Amino acid sequence: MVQIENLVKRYGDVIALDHFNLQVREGEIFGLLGPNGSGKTTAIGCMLALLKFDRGSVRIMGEEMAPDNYRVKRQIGVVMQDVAVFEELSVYDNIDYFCGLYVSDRKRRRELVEDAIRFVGLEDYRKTYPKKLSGGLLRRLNIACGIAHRPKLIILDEPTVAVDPQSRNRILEGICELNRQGSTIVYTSHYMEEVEQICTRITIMDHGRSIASGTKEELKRMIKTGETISVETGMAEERLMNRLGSLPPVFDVKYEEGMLVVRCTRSEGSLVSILKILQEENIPFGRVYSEPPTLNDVFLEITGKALRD
Amino acid sequence: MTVFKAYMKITKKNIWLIVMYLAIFYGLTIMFQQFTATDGLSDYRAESVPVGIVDRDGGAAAEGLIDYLGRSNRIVLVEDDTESLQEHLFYRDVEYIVRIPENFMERCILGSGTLDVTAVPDTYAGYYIGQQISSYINFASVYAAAGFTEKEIAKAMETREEAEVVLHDFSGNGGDAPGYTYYFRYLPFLLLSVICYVLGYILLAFHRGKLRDRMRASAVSAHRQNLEGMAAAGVISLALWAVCILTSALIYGKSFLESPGLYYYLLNSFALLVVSLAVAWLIGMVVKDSNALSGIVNVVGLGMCFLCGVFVEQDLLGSAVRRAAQFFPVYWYEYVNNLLTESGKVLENVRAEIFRGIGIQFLFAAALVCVTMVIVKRKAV
Repeated sequence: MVQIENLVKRYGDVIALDHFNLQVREGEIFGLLGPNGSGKTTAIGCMLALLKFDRGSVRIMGEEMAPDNYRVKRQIGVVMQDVAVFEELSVYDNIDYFCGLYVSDRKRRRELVEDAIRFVGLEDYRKTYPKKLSGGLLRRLNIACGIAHRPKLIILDEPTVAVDPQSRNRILEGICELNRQGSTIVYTSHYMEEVEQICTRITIMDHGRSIASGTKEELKRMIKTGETISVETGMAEERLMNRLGSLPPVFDVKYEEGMLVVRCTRSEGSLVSILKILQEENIPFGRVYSEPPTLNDVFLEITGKALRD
Repeated sequence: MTVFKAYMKITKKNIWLIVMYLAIFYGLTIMFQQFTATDGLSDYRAESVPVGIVDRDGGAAAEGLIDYLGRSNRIVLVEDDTESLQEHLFYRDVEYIVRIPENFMERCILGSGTLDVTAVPDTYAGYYIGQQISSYINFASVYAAAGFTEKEIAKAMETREEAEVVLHDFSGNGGDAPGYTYYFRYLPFLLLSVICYVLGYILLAFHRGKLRDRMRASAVSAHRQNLEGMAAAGVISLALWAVCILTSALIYGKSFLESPGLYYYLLNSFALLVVSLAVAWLIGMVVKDSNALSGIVNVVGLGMCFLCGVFVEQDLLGSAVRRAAQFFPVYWYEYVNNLLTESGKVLENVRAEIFRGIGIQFLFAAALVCVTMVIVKRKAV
């Protein structure tokens, strides 16, 4: 569906995309994950032919993407990171306007607009102007404007930024529903939980490069971390840290703000061994957590920094 | 026609603003029309000034002078007392005091003596009455040289015919400027304000945030979007212009529709419409928010109106202001308007001037479009 090869985009001396590669298959929800400034929005801009790039190629639905390739553009729905709607038009008129940029038949458009309104749950706000909508409702309107014409490919650039949890869940459920209805989704975000929750395949970006790609399981298998065990305790002496570090599956031990964090490779019995050492050292402890690796761990291990740094 | 329809919907949202500007425009036109209405050609008469006279001579020549001045001024015989004379001048009972000395004939008409006069400083009356006295003494001296006696001089001056004043009616409307000339004079205020505000508001909406990118990502080409936008702007402007012309026809009826300058008024106001569109496009591309838009529209609209002869007649503007105003299109609109008001029947030499003025307006519009295109290009890079 989307094929990007060796894409290079420079802003003066700054390299926004550095030989960036991407392949999105038909029918999947593809996640583009990376911290702010990693090049996600620039990649989307190049994909939509909004930005000129210095090198590389972008092919969508088998065709070279260009500013005047309206045949391909007709099949694409775009939801911008910043809400892009007319403050001067009502909810209905906004959706009708953007749908009208793709569908000229008035009767068909009326049906599509009504479907989009129902889909994002804005039935009670048809005549409301955007200024009177809350942040969450505004985001939903932004999505409705992008998907009303039922595109084959939907590109959503951080659609949940500054949205309350309730609206966020509704948006994420909506994206899955669009995918079930047959649309291929490209979803960019810096929220790893969202990407983990809905995406079938993921590319992690940093400094304009694709640093890892695959399903979430594949990505997690790429790293050493198999389990992160956190123990709530008031003290952690050097002797304890050394003993924990000497356990075979443990490769990193940290004590931060009353929490002992032990990272282990994939192996059984790590939790039992750690708790046994704590008992032997007479260290009192409270709650204990054992977590499988997250995409943040993937990012942390590959780049040496956390996704939210 | 999605973009076209969006322009119309946003315009509809501003309909009350348009109505408000129309109301201000009609109010202003009617008000100024009332204030500046003239008396016309038939009512010409010389200026009358209250003149105080102290006659110390009492002879026939002095009487003759008093009668002569009394023909076009109001004569007040005052006491020969300095304090009383000062009081008369202070309270403006008189604006000019003439003291006719004893032996007026010998001293002033046959001799070279002058009259003792007092006038309110820096007034036109002083110069005006002084001219009349000089005229009387000059004529009287000529008669005296011809051997006329004092009585004969007074009689001759009394029977002298007044110069007849004939005013030529170049405009063909008897000196009265027809009502529609005021209407067209104030038209720039309406067209500039409404078109700049409404179109500026629409362009602002279309360039807000990421909307431009969102539109570029759509299936409608930028070329088509621009064409639809231009068509909508054209329709909105033409509709406003048509409302103005129709209203003028309704208010002034035959006097407007049968005016010899009708087509020139239409062409001139159409040129102004094109200029307003060009100004609106420039403003819409430069302005970032609606507060700034309303400020800039006021500065541009009112500024040009004050500077170029809309609210203050061009004849009353200082020469430096007029020179500066020539760099604004509204000046040329008013220039053509004034030519049409003054000339009434459009003669060959005036027609050339009218077309020059209209042509300059179109050139201004073209220049503004070029400047805006450069700005648009720079923004796109």
